[in-house]
Amino acid sequence: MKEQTINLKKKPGLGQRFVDEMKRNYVLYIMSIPIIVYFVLFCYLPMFGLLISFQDFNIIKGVFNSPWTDMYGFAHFYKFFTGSMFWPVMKNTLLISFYEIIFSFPAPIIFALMLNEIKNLKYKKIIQTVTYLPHFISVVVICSMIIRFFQHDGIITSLIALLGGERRDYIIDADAFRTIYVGTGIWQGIGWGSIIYISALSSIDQELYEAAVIDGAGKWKQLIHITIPGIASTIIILFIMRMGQILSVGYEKIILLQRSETVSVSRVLSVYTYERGLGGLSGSTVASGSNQYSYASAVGVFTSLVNILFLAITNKISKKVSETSLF
Amino acid sequence: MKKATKLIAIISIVAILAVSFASCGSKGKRVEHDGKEFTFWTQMDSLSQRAGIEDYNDMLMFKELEKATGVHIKFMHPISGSTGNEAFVTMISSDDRAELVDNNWSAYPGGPQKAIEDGIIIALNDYLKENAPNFYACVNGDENHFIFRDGLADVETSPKYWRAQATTADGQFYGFNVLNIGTTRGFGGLYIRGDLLKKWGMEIPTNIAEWEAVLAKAKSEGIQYPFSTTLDVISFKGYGSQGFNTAYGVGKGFYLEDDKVVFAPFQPGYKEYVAKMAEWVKKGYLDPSFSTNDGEKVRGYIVNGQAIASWGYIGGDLGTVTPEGQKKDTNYEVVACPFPAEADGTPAKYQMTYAEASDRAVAITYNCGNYEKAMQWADYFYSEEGATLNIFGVEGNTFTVEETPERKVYKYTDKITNHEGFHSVEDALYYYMLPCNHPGFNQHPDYLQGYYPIQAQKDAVITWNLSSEESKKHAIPSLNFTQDELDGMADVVEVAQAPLETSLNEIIRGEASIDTYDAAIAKAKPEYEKYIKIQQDAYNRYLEKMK
Repeated sequence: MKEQTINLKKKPGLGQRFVDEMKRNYVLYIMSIPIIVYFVLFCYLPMFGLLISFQDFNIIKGVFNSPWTDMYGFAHFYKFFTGSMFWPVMKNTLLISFYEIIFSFPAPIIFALMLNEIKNLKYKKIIQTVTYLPHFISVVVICSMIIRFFQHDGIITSLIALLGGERRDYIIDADAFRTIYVGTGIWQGIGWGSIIYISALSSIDQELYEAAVIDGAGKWKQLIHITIPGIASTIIILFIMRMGQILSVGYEKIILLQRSETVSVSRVLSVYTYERGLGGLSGSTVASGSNQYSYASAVGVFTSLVNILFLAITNKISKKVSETSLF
Repeated sequence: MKKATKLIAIISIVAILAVSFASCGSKGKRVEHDGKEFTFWTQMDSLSQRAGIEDYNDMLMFKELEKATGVHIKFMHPISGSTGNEAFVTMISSDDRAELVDNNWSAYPGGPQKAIEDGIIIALNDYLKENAPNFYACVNGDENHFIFRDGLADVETSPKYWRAQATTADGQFYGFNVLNIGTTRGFGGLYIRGDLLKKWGMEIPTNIAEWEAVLAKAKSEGIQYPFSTTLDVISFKGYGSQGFNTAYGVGKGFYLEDDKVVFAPFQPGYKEYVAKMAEWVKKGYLDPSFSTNDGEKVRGYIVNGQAIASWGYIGGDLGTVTPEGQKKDTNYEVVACPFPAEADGTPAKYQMTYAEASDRAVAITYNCGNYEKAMQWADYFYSEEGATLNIFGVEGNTFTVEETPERKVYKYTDKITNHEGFHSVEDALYYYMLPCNHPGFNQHPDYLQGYYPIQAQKDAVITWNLSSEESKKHAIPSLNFTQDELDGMADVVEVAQAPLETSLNEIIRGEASIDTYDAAIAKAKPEYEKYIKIQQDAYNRYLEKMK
């Protein structure tokens, strides 16, 4: 007892403790070196690139020698917030994101629950494999398939016509764009997205079900009181992470599906960043020299900040309400 | 434990900063040498790569070149798969800069002028007369130079265009540009099923009335969409994709009328053109899915007979459709149609038109160890022997030559035309030499006749270039813009292009009446006026250089 108090008083120096720590856990530190190097090289170093959103970036001068913009470096942000494209782009992004959260997020959950009830193993495996498939097909191929499907004489257009709908090019219909985007997104991702839920489902204790059956619970009651609470924490974590991507509607699929007719609903933040940063305005006669790297980075930085904000808020709410949270 | 973690964090941050500051660019160093060896950065031609070349030093042409010039070249080829311009910008902003750099210099941020100001490449005007006599003779119109002597370029006009297009805003030559000779400037246009025309006893259509007759006949024969094509051909974008609009005396995109920049949809005649396209959709002559079609689908229609006419390129369309179609029917053929003449018989004024000098050039960087020798090496491509080697290879081996009263006529040997050991003529050609789009002379008529294997292609080279001379006056050359101007144009395109295109497409598809045309134009006009002004200013600067 006495020795201990002395020890506490005579705290070893920082250097000494560093050496002690290294001696004790050197294996762990060595093992973590590749990971640290990876994060430094590919995650933290590129973050210095964010500086260019406060500069008039010149690729020859580089990140450290380009001049800063007016307004203490915030000129690009000001231009974006006050520009005519800010509200349309925000509206498009939020609407698509909102529809995805309402429709695409629950789809794999429902699918996993349904799959969980299938008792024939072979049948279950086939269903799973078939639904994974679209995930592994290149998005370029997926999009040219989507375009063909929804064209004037496409297979889905023909189906709609058969059911009494109108036959036209749905892919260039601005009103149908979000439906097609979100709908095909579900088709692409439902199988893949359900994997994590299926594994969560398999970890639920089977005895709970047996006990529930003895208590006279039917299938529906089992679902409500055992299955869903059993995967609730997985759902919540994934939901929080999903909210952290609220403004990150991907550009690949949109750029591939976009036509002049649908630009008004499909120009989302990432597409706008691409157009400005990499000069990707379709069909424009402007040469590649129009790349506005700095302006596009400012838009990108804004996107990330809003995403982090949403992530933090959702996390906080979830912590309060359900005691499940990311951090 | 906590403090140790903190320490590690601090160390890592310092390391990060050290690494990132170390990578800051500098002008690079320059070591003089006797000019026996140079490093040369160039993107390998994808056709050469496909044919099996891994380093240009393995290519017959460069082997011979080394013998002729006594200069060894160490090639720096960007890793295949990386898109060229990114690799170019990375290389140019690093310390590892080649001595000679071959690229499209408009890809340099700020253009070639900026590259000279930044001290990356050197301006050539003071050196050319002495060290690049062939290039100098060429751009200054010396009648003794073989291209003028042989009538491959016009001594009055061509040098004027080259001097204007291959120089910076200050009138400095910045490299050895790709110079176009001959008259072939267009590689795409309208084409139709020749065998069906013969069967129906009809001629190749040359104006709107004849086209209408052919399409009506096709419709009555049960063809689903007689004319099927992609968006670019129907829409107003891009001077390169001229179609039926030429029949109304109006071009595509932005172009010149008497040195004034104009925009096609604002020109008289364009409304009639849109009305005619709408009428054709209504009658079932024109595929209404033009906005979503892709080239693959349209070629499928042409091969399978769901459509009889379309718009295509000499290589990618005529070259693929013909062999596919002939698999089923040996009579199958497609033929190029001239761009439709105006109703009063005036021939079409517009066609696809590449510039007389492209922005692609071999430039000499500041770091080059021997400017004079490097120029002499690059100049060889502009001499008669060098140009022949570049385009045709080695006499007796890859080509034979025949003297005619007008000029020497070159013919590729069987080694090329029968492409022994290769899949196609182009593979064989690009295995031995770089006949096209390489610094030197481009579009040699004998090369084009040898390059295209199918008769329809050889004919298309002529048919789609009937308006070549006239169209040169209308096509806007590659212009130098300031960053503010580029941003200004991007703003206009962003706001105005999609709504205008949507409105016009709706009219053509019959979803809106032609009466809405004027309103759509009025709405787009204020924005596009800004764009036109920027282009006009830049063009005026170009005209100053022409003087």
